[in-house]
This record gives sequence, C-alpha cells and structure tokens, in this order.
Amino acid sequence: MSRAILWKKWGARFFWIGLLFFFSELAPSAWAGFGLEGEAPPILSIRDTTGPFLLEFDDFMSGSASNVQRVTYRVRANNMSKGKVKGAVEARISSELDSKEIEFEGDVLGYRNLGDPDFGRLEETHQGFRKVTDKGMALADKAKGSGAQDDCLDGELAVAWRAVLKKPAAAGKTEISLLVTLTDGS
Amino acid sequence: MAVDRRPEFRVLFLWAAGLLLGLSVPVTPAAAQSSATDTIGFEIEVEPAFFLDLVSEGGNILVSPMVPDRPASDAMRVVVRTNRGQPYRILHTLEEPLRGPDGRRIDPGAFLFSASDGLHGGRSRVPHPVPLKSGRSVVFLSNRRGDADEFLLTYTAPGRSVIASGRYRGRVEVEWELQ
Repeated sequence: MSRAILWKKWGARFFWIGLLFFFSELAPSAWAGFGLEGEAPPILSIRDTTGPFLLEFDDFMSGSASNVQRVTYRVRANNMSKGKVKGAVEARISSELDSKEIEFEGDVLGYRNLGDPDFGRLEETHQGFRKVTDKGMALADKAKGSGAQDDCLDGELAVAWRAVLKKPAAAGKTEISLLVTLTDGS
Repeated sequence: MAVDRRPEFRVLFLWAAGLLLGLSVPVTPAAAQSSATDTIGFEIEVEPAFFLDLVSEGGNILVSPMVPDRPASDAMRVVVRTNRGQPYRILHTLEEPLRGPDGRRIDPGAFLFSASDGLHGGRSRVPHPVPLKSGRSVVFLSNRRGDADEFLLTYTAPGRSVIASGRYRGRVEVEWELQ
C-alpha cells in the first residue's frame, strides 16, 4: 500500500483524534460514578373506596330487591401470574344468610386501568348478578394481557351489590361482613 | 555596635608569616569564618486541582421500598474541592437506565431526581424532581469564583404507580467541567 493511500486512510483519523485531544485539554473534565438501585417489593392489595354500606328493602315480599350499592375497589399488584388467572377476585360473606329468606348478590360493573397501558386488567367472570355465599364466588378474572407488564395491576374494579328476598321477611337488621379477595393465582 | 575583628587579623597574620617564612601553613578558612551564605532560587507550584467526591451511606443509592402512595428517596452528597478559581458546572448522566432482573425497564416517571443548591453559593439547575431519563444534563453551577462547594443529588420514587416487583439497577455518572 502506498504512503499516499495510507495517509488518506489514517491521516484524517489522526487529525480528528488530535483535535479531540486538543479540545479536551482546553476544557478539562473528570467524572465519578455510582450505582443506582431501586427495590419494589411484591404487593397485592384490594381496598374499597366507599366503606360500610346499607342495603334497604322498601318491601318485605318475596322477589323484592334492595337498593343497589356500587362499591369501587382499588386493585394493585405487581407480581401476578402472567396470562389469564381465573377467579383472581373472589367475594364471600362472613356468615351464611338465611338463604331461604335473603340472597346476597354481586355484579362486576367494570374495570378501569390506572397504570401503564400495558398493565394487566380484570374482567368479570359472569355477566349479571350472581349469588354470593360464605363459600365464595368468583367475581373477576385477570384477563390475558398483551403487554410486557401483564403481571401488574393498577386499577379500579367497580362492583354492584344488592340483596333479594326469597321469602317474605320479618322486620329487622343484620350486620354482615363482605370479603373480597385478590389472589395472584400462583 | 562594636565588632571584634581580632580573629580575622590573627588568621591574616599567620598566613602572611607563613608566606614570609616559606612555610606552608594550613589554614582552614571555614573554621575561621563566622558565616557563609549560599543563595539558590526555588519555586513553589501548587498544581491546579479539582476533586469530585461522592459521599453516601452505602456508597451507592438505594431507593426502597418503591410502592404506591409511599414516596421513598435516597441522596448522594457531591463534594467539590478545587483551587482552580474558575466557575465550573456539574453534569449528570444516566449511564445505564434502571433495569430489573428480566431486563425490564422502569418507567422514567416512576423515578425522579433533583439537585439541591450548594452550601457555598452554587446553584442547582434541577431544584424540583424531574424524571430520570437517559442522557447528560447540567445539574449544578458553581458560584462566579468557582469556589469549592457541596450539594445533594436526591433520587425519589414518588409512589405514583405500581412498579413490577424486583430489584432495579442502573448507573449514574457525575462529571465536572470548567465553564
């Protein structure tokens, strides 16, 4: 290879390296570095945003339905199983009602994602009102998401609750606890 | 002030007598002199220096726990010692973005950083938390005299949203430059 070709090939490179060195000397600088860490522990939470509620009957006759109470649950999880999780949200009541007299029912109204668009989401297991007992009832499934963050949930699940009389009921008041559980499915 | 010159005369006399007598009289002038001086020039040079020290409890930054509704933060103290007497600026580079064990990146809005003003007149260019994004940005300007200074770089997980569980690791570089 001739000198001219060598110079053509390497000369420009040396020129720019030299120029870079020259300017780096004019404006001296130095650096130091450090590691940056963040730790996100596993979380799995479901919390109502409404508090205790009262279901009232205007009529005591069979077939009467109480008022409908809408409850919004804030759902958060960051370590769910990927893909579909059946019965991710379950509802049950603390004690069996007199099933021959009153039935307690729930219906998922919808789910609103408040996190990243590629987070997972919830969808109702059954359409319409379904009976809730002390044995538990699947309320919502985790749908199979398409995003990379399908294992995360951050949203609001809206559920309608009501009671229905199966027999004419005597006047009175009953306190019941309603338990709604989010399970990661794994 | 009276000066006793007798020793010098004594030496001179002995030397002259020695010459006259043709004798070699060993005379050691140093032994006879009362002082002697040598002069040598010297210089003192203090090299222009700039030291950038990063001080934190564990040597690194650890923001934990990153959970919703509970902001968490950690800070790195940046200590600048310099004798250059020239204004300088401090640059911040997210060299490696935060990544989880499966390579998952953290949303820039879920991790913020800010810089405080300096203790000796330097001013922050990022006084309020901003998303930690890749790239290089000026975070601090020294006072006009370019005095030594120190300030805090604070990293915050504001807890606005859910972050997939795991430990995220990244790397930051802090650089100084004369203005």
